[in-house]
Amino acid sequence: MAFTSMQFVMFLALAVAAYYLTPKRYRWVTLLVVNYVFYYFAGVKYFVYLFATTLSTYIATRKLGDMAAQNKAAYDAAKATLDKEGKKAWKAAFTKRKRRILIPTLLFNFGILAVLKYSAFVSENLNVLLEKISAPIQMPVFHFLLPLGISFYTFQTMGYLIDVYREKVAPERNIGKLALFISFFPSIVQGPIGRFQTLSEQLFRGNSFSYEQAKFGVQLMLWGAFKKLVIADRAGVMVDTVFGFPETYGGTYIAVAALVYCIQLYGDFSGGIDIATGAAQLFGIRLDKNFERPYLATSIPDFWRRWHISLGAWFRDYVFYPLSLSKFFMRVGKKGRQILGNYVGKLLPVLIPQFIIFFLIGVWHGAEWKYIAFGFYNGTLIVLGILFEQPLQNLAKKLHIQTECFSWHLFRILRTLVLVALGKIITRAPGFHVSLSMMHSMVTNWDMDALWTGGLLQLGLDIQDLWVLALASLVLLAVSIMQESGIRVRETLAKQNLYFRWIIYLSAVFSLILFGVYGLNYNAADFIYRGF
Amino acid sequence: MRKQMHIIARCSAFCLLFVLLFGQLTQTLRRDDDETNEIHAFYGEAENSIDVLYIGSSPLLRGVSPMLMYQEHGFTGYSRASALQAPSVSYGLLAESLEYQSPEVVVLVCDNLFQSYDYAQQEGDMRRAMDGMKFSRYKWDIIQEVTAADERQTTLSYLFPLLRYHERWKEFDPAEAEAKPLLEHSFKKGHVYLREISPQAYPEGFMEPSGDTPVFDENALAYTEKSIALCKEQGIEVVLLHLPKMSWTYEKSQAMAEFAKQQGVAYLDFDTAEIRSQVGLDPAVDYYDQGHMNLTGSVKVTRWLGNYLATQYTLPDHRGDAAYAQWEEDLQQYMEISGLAE
Repeated sequence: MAFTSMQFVMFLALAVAAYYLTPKRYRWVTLLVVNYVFYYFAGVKYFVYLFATTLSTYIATRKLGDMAAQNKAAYDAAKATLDKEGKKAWKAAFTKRKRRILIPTLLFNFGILAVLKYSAFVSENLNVLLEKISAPIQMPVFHFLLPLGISFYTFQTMGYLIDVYREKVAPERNIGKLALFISFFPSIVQGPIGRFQTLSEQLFRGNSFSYEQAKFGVQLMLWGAFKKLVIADRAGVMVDTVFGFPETYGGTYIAVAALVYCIQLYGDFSGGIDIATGAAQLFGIRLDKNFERPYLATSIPDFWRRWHISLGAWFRDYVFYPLSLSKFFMRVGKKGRQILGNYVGKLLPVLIPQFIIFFLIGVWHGAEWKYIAFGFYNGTLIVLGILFEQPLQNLAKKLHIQTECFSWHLFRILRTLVLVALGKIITRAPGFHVSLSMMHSMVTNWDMDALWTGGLLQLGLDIQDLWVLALASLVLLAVSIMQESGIRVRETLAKQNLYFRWIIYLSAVFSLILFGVYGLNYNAADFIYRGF
Repeated sequence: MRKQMHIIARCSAFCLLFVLLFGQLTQTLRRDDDETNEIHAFYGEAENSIDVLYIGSSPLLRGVSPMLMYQEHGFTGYSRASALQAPSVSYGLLAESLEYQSPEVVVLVCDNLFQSYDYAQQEGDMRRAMDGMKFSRYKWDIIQEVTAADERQTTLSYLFPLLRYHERWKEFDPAEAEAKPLLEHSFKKGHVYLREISPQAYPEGFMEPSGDTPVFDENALAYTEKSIALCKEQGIEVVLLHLPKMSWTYEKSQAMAEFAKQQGVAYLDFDTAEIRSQVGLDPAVDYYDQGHMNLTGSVKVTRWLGNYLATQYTLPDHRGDAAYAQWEEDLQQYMEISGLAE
């Protein structure tokens, strides 16, 4: 059930009605039923995986909780008899015992994800290797259909498991409530990846209906649908044309398509997130932010702090910090300082885990070499960014470049956008090699004139569509700039006169109806991140 | 409570405004089509005022004039016809019409009995008819059949045509922009005539036995049987009609005659030598193309059909009846605008 379909709108309306008609105490039960009905529409067979994750996490977290309680009691009793070393040993022994629960559960759940998502990729590549060494065997290749939102709910659930392991949150004792946290339908499709600490209370307490919240929720959903249907899907026509036949188009077209793809991907993904966030708001639930004007970022690290925030935060909290602060990387840093000098050596415990994280983020996006290349590309940019941050600042000072002005800020934004767009070419091109030749063409085959002499009109969109795309993108930019300046758009709008507000609302609704890419004459695309 | 009432009132006012604008935009952007308008204008006829109801595809649309029959014989009629009308639509139109009218005779044009209908390919033809239909359970059934056969088409787009025609904003000319509501009353009574003359010649061996075995399309046959059964159930006489078409064959004519016999209904085939000669069709002047009459051809066809209906069935003569004064006005307009008055 696509977020932009009328079925979803009807489903949501019924779900909201059912939620608020249920007595407060049982609203979480209604929400759970709603989640499962939503999931049922995706395919009943996928429940197996969802249940497996729910059950395994429930058992593991309950066990971890019990262990923590027992350990605390035993530790309190024995504390007086333990010296510093004894306490340390006690803690280490307990951590070891907890890991016996944590690691198998992580392996089991990430194993499901890995098998479903990556087994075909691994088998195919192994087969290529086996063929090269003339081995007489071939691995069987299984192409599994991915259950809806498996990447998102697995990460969300494993985050919760690790938090329980770290004793940051108490384990949920009610399996139904845990199931609700795992399967919350607005965010299961494409995120944001929620945290138990922020979501659980909102999900379980039974929220009261708030007209203001509901209004804001609907507005956000409309805005999301606008980004998806008016901008992203229209941009998608152009992007598909160029990336579908990359050899046909010269560098100028590729550059345009790459920029348009940036717009498409942002409209598509953030549009979906807005719909999810707005839908959650109708139940009185606030989801975590997933975007913060990423194309206004001034550096690649800044971009990744603004793009898919919940995924970045997940990797930061559950992979980066444990790696960076591990004894191993402390030793690497120490050794690095001896070999590479103080500056680089000090940064090594940050740089290597950063690189690993971006490799993992790349892999998370899909089982293809291009995503791995994308991970390396971003990892490299991040590492170079960190390494050269100080030297570049020094250079700017020496060259008397004023860095506290608009032009420098704009330069940094544009530079980041170009780097991001290059990365997008890697993920959008049919293969890594193709993306390289496209980038090569961007350097060697440049002809701006072709664009203005009708070239743009050969990319699948007619002149009216191009105008709509351009104007809608400008609206998106204007809203982004307003938000960046600290203006809360919906709240500001709410303070305006009724007539003005209604003009805005009706314009929004009708621009969606009229200019949205849907129906038979268009092939409205599915959400891109839904596939991850 | 007062705040809640205020919110409800505000939301209702917003929704009302939305509905009004939506309706206005639908009228501005929808396809302005004669067939759609004629199908819709049927609802403008006074209840139980139609004596003969005609249902079928484009040969009927172009070839039969209920208004001329009224002029000549005094009985009323209405054609609910559209190009390449799907059998499901024909049945739906008939069943729906019988909720408004109680005709003495129903004439079903059955050229589509030998063709399988492709809902995906003929979406435009479907909409031409469906856009003119009010919402009813019959329309709903057709929509369900269409959307089940072609998943690209949606129920909502049939219920709210703006969702289908929304991209027509590209053709929008502000200078000519005006909301065109569907026709509420038609003086043509469903006869969308064509004036152009395109001289034709009957193909060699036309309507001579060729040994072919025509096969009825199961779906079309089922709907036609259903239509006949519905009429019989309501005590309405049925005439199966084939109008002039140069791609017609002797075998199809025979198969139709046999089918009509089985069903116990009358069958008229305007391509049989006998009727053709009685009608006096001249392929050099009476055709618009190989499958459709032009205005002069339709006058000849209508005259023959009118005589047939008047002699075979007991149909009332409403001429001079004050209750049918509107028909007199419509007739005058029809004659003037069609040029037949001259």
